[in-house]
Amino acid sequence: MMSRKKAFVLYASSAAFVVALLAWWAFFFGRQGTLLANRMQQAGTPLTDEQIAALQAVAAESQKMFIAEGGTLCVLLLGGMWSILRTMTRELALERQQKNFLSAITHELRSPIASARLYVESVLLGRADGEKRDRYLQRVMLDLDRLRTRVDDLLETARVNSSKPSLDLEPADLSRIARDVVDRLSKEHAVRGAKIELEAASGVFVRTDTRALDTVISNLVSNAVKYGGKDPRVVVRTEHTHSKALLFVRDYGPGLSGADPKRIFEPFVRGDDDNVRAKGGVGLGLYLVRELVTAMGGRVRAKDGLEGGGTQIEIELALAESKA
Amino acid sequence: MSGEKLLIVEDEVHLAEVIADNLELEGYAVEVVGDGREALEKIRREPPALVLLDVMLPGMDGFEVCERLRAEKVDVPILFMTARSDADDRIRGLELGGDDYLGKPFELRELMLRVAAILKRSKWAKTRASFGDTLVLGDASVDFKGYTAQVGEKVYTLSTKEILILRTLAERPGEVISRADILDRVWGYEAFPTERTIDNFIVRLRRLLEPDPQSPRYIHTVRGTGYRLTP
Repeated sequence: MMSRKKAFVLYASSAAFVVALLAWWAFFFGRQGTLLANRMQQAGTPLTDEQIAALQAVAAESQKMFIAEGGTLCVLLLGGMWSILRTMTRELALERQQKNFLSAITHELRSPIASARLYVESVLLGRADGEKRDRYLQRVMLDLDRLRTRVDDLLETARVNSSKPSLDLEPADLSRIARDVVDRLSKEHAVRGAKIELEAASGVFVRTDTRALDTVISNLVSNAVKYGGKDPRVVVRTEHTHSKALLFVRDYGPGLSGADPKRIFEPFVRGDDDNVRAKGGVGLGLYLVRELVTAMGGRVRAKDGLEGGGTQIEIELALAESKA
Repeated sequence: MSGEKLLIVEDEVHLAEVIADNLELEGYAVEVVGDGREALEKIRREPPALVLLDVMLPGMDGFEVCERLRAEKVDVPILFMTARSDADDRIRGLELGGDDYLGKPFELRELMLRVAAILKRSKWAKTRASFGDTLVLGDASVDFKGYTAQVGEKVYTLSTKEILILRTLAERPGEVISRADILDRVWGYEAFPTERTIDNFIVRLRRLLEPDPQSPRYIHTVRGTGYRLTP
């Protein structure tokens, strides 16, 4: 792959060439008037009105040609340069995201391995007995769980990336799936002081893949707990209009801290602020959510700057009845 | 061992706990901080005998903590511990003034050995040199206590590494000291990616202390081996 520096040098040279070409063109265009005057002078004897008119007609013709050819070339070249610049900017952003991802995934995978290894080594070297030994082994379990979650995320993303997720869509009760997730995650996150509430409307049936929807809601709730500040409060709400089912997951944390609500669903995108970096994760959770919801024929979006603070993620799915 | 104070700067709670437990078992007094900024404040207030510094930290990353401390002439020994262990990161950590670098995951025994080695080097650096506090090389005079070199009217500040290289050479005047010996004394051999780096330090020292750096009178290169100081 071409290095960033080379690409920029090449782009800058092309841009300079285009500018020079346009300047050259403008110079000749500007000289048209002078050429006409020169020819009139060179003629020596005064020109007749007809001769002047003929010269003027020739000049006007060639001006038209200059404008048409030069203008088209100008538009094409500028359009090309703009398009190249846009592609390059995108490539660079992607490269940066992938670098961030690699850095984050290295940290996320190596850290639990490093601590599990040191706990086990301490036990093997006889440096932890009795209660301390039990505590160390429990820590190893937690490290392995964390590692498993990360690996599962990566595998799921690889699966979603390699082919469109194949989902088994059938009518299911959105509120019931949300309730299952809330019950399960409430227990899991109780130690962090998390309070997860459910405001469920009854009879919201959607065409979905139950397992995939469970993954979607679990990811959103876990994310909300993670970024929900101290003793996080998370509200999961379901409702429906005449044709759509809606699911909202809201936290009351510090919000997106200026991150673009659309971009947070891109892979490997994570906030740059310390709060986000400190939480761990590699920036795949919301990407998975978007891919799975899209495969269900639904839409997902994030809202920031809400009254009372925090972020709300909104999922929109078609009601089962309307599709039937 | 000695009850020397060590500071662990690590935001991974488990990792910090198991490292702290094991260092305490070795007799060190250990404190743990999980945030770069907080670590910087703490080290400024009371520098420990050694800092075990993670790189990816909330608040301020480990490289920046190290860079700021060195800029403020705080020369507390720093051992980087990080998951980012490719060569670029290792070199960056050492160039910023880190004393050693451990890539995660690492072995407990290796960590213990490295901690002990850095503390030993750091103690050696604090003791009085066998030749006293001053080394005179012609018009230049190096003050090992103040980390300065006076050449004529001008006074230059020397870095810890420059002072330690000079000291390693000056403690055995007239003898050839191998690059490996210098690395071992000043950095700890394994930490450093290449022996060439030492040559760069020598170039700067010659520029400061030699009347004609091109044909040195005091700091001689012994080809293929190392350096010799003849005061």
